[in-house]
Amino acid sequence: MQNEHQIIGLVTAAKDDLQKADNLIREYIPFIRSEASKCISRPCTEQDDEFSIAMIAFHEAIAGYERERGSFLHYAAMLIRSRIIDYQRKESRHRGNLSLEVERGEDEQTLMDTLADPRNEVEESVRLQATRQEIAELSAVMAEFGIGFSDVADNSPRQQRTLEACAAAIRFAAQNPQLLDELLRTKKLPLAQLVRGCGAERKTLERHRKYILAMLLIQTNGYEIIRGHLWQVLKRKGEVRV
Amino acid sequence: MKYLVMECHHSYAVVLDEEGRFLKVANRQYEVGQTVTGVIELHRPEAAPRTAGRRRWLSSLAAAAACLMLVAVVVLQMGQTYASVFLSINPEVRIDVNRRDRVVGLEGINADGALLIGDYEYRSKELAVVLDELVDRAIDRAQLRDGGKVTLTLVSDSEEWRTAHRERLPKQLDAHLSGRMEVLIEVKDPKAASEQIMIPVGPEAVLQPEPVPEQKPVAVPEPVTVPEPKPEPHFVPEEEPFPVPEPVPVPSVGDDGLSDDDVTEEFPSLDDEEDDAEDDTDDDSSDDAENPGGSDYSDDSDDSDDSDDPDDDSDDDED
Repeated sequence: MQNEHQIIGLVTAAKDDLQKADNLIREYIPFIRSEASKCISRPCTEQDDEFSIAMIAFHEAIAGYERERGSFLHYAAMLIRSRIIDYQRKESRHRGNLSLEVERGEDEQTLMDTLADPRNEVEESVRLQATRQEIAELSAVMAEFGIGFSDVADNSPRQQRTLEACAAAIRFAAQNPQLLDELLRTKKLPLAQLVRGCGAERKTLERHRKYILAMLLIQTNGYEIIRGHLWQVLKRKGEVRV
Repeated sequence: MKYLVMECHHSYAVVLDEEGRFLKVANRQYEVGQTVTGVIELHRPEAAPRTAGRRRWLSSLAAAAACLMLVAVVVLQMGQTYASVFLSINPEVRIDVNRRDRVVGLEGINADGALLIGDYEYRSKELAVVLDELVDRAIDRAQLRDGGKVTLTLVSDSEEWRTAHRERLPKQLDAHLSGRMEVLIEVKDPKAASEQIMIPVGPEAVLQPEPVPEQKPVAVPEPVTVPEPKPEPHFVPEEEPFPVPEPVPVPSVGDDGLSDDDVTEEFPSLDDEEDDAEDDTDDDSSDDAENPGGSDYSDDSDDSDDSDDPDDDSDDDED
């Protein structure tokens, strides 16, 4: 009982603190692996997808736990089972398909190895490094504004209509570089001008302030790779990419 | 859909999809900067079942209602008359109090009482304060003067309350009037024996109040033992050794010429015996003092002396 109270205290603290959540998850990795192993009926390794799914299920358990749900560990175990079963059902749909990754024959070559790879590995590696650098720079700038990627993910719009309203505001800012300059200078989101410019409801933009801020920072100079990944956002409906 | 991995954590990774959504997904050995497909998105669990919330809401409502009822009961009890004190000077006033001795009602019993309370604000004041202030008002109106009398009548079903206030109220009033005037404070308890307390209060230190005469216990006289009347000897002639004269041959009347009177001379009459008995009684009292419980033999001897008289008479007769 005392242990249960202690866990609930840790979970409550981890809800609002990312670092505490990570620590709690690290502490309960044996439990997570054990639950995943029960579901797949074999020892689960960190390379298994089921382990990753079990980890994120545990994270969900931390985020969604309430006292009314009973014991935390029972709740987390139930979520882990549910998520792994969902994943296995989804995977079963592709059971008849041939995997490119499965090793075949005595030489242990995969089907992928036999296919011609049009990509240049060196080029890919350089691109990956460049992307990492961009992301690191963006993360540093975002930290100056007091936000992180996890905050932005939590604040990101989910409904399509909201996403489009936010995209309109981002497009308007991208077309008006003085707004981005003002943002970098004052470190304040020019919300009133965005509302006036894009016609979106102020309340909608206000609710997703962190998300819009991150997207506007991406629109400033130096994040070409990320902007290239987001080309659909900057494209109006029916507009062809320039 | 392609996803750009922006951040990797132990349990999840943050990815950016092509539509500009930042998502938390399962970290399947991702690296920052990697472009991936087929992510397993983190689901936000639904809130706790509605029924539980409704139940909590209902329980909160029930608790609030219970608290409200409790408060209402307390408030009602606070406003309820628990006891009454009738303050009688010349004006008479009834003061109603609750359990906590807070005055909840004030009413003038007679016309002077109604005038006395007038516009007096009594609410949420303590009984002792109201009593003091009403007495002050009576003094200001010259309805209570030095040497006057204040009567407090306690009416309550609680004997404990009456007992406590029977002693406390006069003391409090006394303390309030101390150094101003001398009044007689009488406390009446209709349900118990009335009690009168003389509170000597004098403005001048010289004016020493007369000490209340202590009720000394009256010395009850010891029951006087009335000496029982001594049985007179003539009432019990059997016990008296009455000397019987020797039979003398009585001559017949016709023979020797003696009348009946002569015969009675020889035998003493009953009247003579009574006189003797009275004399004996006087002697007995002196004898009793000297010899209480003594026998009557000495008297008998006297009587025996008396009994000799007939002999003397007879001698005289012979002379």
